[in-house]
Amino acid sequence: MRTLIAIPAYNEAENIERVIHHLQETLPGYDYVIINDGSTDNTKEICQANHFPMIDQAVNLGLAGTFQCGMKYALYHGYDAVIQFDGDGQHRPEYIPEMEQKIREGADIVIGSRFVTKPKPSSMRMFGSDLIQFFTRVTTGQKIKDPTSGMRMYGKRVIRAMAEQINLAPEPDTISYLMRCGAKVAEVQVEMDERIAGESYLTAWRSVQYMSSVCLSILFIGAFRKRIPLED
Amino acid sequence: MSYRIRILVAIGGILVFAFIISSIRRSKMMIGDSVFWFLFSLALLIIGIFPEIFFAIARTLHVASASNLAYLFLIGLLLIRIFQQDLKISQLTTKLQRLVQNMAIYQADHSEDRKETDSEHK
Repeated sequence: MRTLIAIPAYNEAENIERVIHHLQETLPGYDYVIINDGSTDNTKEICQANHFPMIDQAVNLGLAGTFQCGMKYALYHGYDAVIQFDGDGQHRPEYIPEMEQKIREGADIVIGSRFVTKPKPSSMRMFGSDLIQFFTRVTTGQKIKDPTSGMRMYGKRVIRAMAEQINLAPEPDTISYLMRCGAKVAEVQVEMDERIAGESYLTAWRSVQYMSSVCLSILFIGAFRKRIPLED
Repeated sequence: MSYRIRILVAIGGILVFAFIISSIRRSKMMIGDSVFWFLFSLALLIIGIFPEIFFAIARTLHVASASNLAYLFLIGLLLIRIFQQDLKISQLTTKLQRLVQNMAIYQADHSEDRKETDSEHK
């Protein structure tokens, strides 16, 4: 099985070198690619100087468009699985082989979940997670313990659709929608690290927009969307 | 407000909702961009069914007629929307320019002529 580690990077100059070196040490021989999302710092120059494989987007597309670029790359190069791996060091590479195993066992989406065996803390942020978990359960009947985790691996049956169609951003509403289309989801317990440097995509106002858009999408829009066939 | 107008407003809300859903089904609209229109259709539906809300707001704001308030509200909402769209069009234009320029420069650097002149220099 060939897995591509897709690493979206927007202004990750302070992190990217450390993250990639750690990835190379932990999982030598794995294919990975950095997708530079039109960074305004010197993320691009650092990747070039280190000869990291990189797709350089000339303009900023945001996370959805950037990850889709990684999906397209994987589709064109015939990969069997793609994992979304953060460029800021939150995700730990040692869990990737375990997630691959779930794909081999027949899962279409594997979530690197913080709360499979460990309890979810209660905070404002986790309230959002609970809400999405509840809506996902209502619409699909399945309990996803960490729906907002950004560490997700996608198998061949969903790669083509996600690479080519609109409205399949790597977000919880897409997971719920793909489940309605027949995708199997598995979760693997992982640990995540706090980001060490740089800023997150999500600010307070964006979190509110994000939550309303995702919840609306799962609850209402999901019911009306055409089911796409999942093919190998 | 007469029953006819109320029913008309409510039907308008339902039509907006149906139109947005069909746009998403045909992959013509991104879900993020549709949020405004869903809230808008919901607002129309609520005003159609419970116009009393509007009358109450008009009384508290000392606006003589509720329909004036409705116009004010709608025009304000549309102005905000137009401004947001202009903002987005500007951003898209900038991105498109940068994209075209980058591609043109890339192609100029990688065209056959360039390769030939490069090899002559060597």
